[in-house]
Amino acid sequence: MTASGDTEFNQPGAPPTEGDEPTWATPDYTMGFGEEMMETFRRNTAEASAAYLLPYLRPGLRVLDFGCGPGTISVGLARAVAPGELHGVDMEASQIDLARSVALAGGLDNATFHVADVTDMPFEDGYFDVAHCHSVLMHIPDTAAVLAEVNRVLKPGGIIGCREMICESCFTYPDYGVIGRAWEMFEDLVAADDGHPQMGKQLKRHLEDAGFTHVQTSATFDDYATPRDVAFISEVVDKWFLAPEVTEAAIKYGAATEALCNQIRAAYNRWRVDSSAWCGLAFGEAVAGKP
Amino acid sequence: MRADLMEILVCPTCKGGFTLGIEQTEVLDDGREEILAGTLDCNDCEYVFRIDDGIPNLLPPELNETLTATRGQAEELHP
Repeated sequence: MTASGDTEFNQPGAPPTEGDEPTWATPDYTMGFGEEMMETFRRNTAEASAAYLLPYLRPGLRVLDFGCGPGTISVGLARAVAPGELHGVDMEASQIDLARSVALAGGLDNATFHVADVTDMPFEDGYFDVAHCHSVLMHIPDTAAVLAEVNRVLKPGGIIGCREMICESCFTYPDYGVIGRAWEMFEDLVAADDGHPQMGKQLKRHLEDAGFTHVQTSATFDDYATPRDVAFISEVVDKWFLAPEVTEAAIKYGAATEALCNQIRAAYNRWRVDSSAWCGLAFGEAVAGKP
Repeated sequence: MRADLMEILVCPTCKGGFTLGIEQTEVLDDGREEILAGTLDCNDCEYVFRIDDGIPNLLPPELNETLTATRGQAEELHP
């Protein structure tokens, strides 16, 4: 704590000093968990997807990864705080099974995973130094309920780090006059599940409303431009986004028509062999402290 | 699930403490005991949570039932 009583934490890029005491540090999920979505998760490592948070981590801290999915980011966070503890929470048992396997394969004995709900977590008050999530708040209807629960399990002086999509700032080039409609369809699907497709740029407001202070923001893109990246995105669109489960939901919610889905499929077939193909996924990032 | 997790786990619904019921354990390579199957019985409310394959399911019971039903419907629609 500073003399004024404000919570103090380091700026991004300036790792905490060694020796400091650790004081900080779905039924609504239409998207499913197909193989292409799993490849997306596997590309999400702590180094790639939580770079904004890593400077705040150091050995000995206790970290909560809420909505951890298959644990690919969790294991990087666990390495950063070992021998401290990493606890991952997800409501999908299949994801927790995967997360345990990922941690075992990585030889990590400080990572533990639980099947639990992020709005009703099974941890005592004030246990964690750091809480993290990636692309989680955008899918949960009651943002305030999640952040209140995270606030409860964080220590005073603890920090929260979130990275969430800003769907309206994502781009696919060339667009062929169609692919932008696919992004709109994705936004409508997230919104139809009472999610928040622009959560990335709303983080500062939500964190401040939940009582967190000293909000540090940043914004980054996940960039897909190499032939391998373009092939990967094309597969995600073909096998997941345009899979029957998703398109049927989109048509049911009025977010798309069968004709539009066919146009999007044809546009991506052009895109995957276009040498200028490039896709950027936009994210807002925020780190904030619990007073 | 390791037994020492009992020190930090609370009932997701009422935040009460648990009594651990052990059904099956194994000793890990590092000598620690892993609880493979058992129960976490809330001391303050009526809920009992299962531990299966070493993983405690700590979803609030109503949400657990909703998720199970949703998965069943999804499998019927897209087997």
